[in-house]
Amino acid sequence: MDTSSPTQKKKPNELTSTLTTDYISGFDLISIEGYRQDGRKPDELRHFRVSFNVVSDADGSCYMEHGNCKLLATIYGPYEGESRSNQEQAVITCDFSMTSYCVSERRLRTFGDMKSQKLQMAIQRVFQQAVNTETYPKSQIDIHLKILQSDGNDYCPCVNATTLAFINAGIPMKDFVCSSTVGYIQNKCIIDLNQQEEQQKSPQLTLTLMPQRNDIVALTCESRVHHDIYNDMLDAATSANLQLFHLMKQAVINQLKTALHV
Amino acid sequence: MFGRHRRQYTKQIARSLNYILNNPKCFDLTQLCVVKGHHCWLVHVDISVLRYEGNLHDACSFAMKAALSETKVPALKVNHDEETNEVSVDVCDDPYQYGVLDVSNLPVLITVGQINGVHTVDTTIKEDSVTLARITYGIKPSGSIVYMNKDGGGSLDLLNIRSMGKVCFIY
Repeated sequence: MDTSSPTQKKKPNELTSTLTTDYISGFDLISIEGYRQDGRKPDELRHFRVSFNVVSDADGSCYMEHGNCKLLATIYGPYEGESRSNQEQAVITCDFSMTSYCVSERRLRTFGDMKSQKLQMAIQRVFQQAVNTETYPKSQIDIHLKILQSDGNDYCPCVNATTLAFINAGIPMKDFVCSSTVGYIQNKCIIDLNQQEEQQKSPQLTLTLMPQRNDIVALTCESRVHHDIYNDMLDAATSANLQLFHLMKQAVINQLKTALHV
Repeated sequence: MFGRHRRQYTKQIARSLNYILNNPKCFDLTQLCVVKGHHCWLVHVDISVLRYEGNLHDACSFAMKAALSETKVPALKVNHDEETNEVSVDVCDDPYQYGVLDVSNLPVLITVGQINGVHTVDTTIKEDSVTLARITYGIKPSGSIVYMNKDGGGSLDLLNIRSMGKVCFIY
């Protein structure tokens, strides 16, 4: 982003520097009052909105708006798998695609590129663990994800939307699966990074968690995280995921209430 | 509809919309010009189908017309240097300063199908699958037909085609 000033803070891993007064102008990711660029506090999630049964001929579907990220998750299955598929468990496949207009620059390669394939495999692995696949031997479950608008990290909203779509489809799972990113900027842990915050070269973790069992499904880190702040970041990520879990549970309960006319 | 049939179908829709857009009588391409001979606007129309329930041709053309009518063209500052013939174009920073495109003359596509001798308009997915022959008309608000395309394996005689044209007109 070319609005960032070149004289920004020193590397946050250096614990000996005092950060707040060392740099000139530019923009602060966290203002002096403690608010981020989009007006959130460091431990606040982005605006979360979910709607179910969007695609009525799919078995389960979920349209999710997480901040500026809008995506559609649909589940087909379980249906009869191919003859060479796993005899004892259901096979979960994932298909991820973006639209040409999901990011600010028109994107021609909407599926099949490296990032999409990595995401597909990651989600497939996560849900192979989370879903009770032993109850559906010799069958296949398809996950289709479509990003309508992207705001940096696609993986976390995808995982959350897929969980809700599975619940909408009525497929039993061991637990919810929630995912959130956490960063460390200006001596504070901030959760649920948007694109601007993610593009900073600051320590970041992506945590995928089963909240009620407290099981970590996946933990990815593609930056340098100093082990002194590691525990704090993990705690922040866990609390972020618990917040997400409450929001998701509330959405499911509301959907049930409207469906049962209670 | 899967596999290569889907690909062919979507390509056909793209082709018909392309034809409509690039026609100077339907869409005034000069409104996209910034500096004659130097710069012009490039417009991409991307349509994502969230749910297919039949009659995709018509729905896509309605969506395209609606989207183009709402398009905000950013305001530009153009410096045309007469002596050196250099042109510099700057996009205005103010997001509230924009121009709009004139799509009042843009035609929409209407598909008229034939099932068992009855002419159908705005078919659902089930009706689509039993329609043997259909004609897609591109029709302007003034009533003139600019585009016509026949689709499907069934045959239509002249009388049918004329009456289908009349149906589309009324619609």
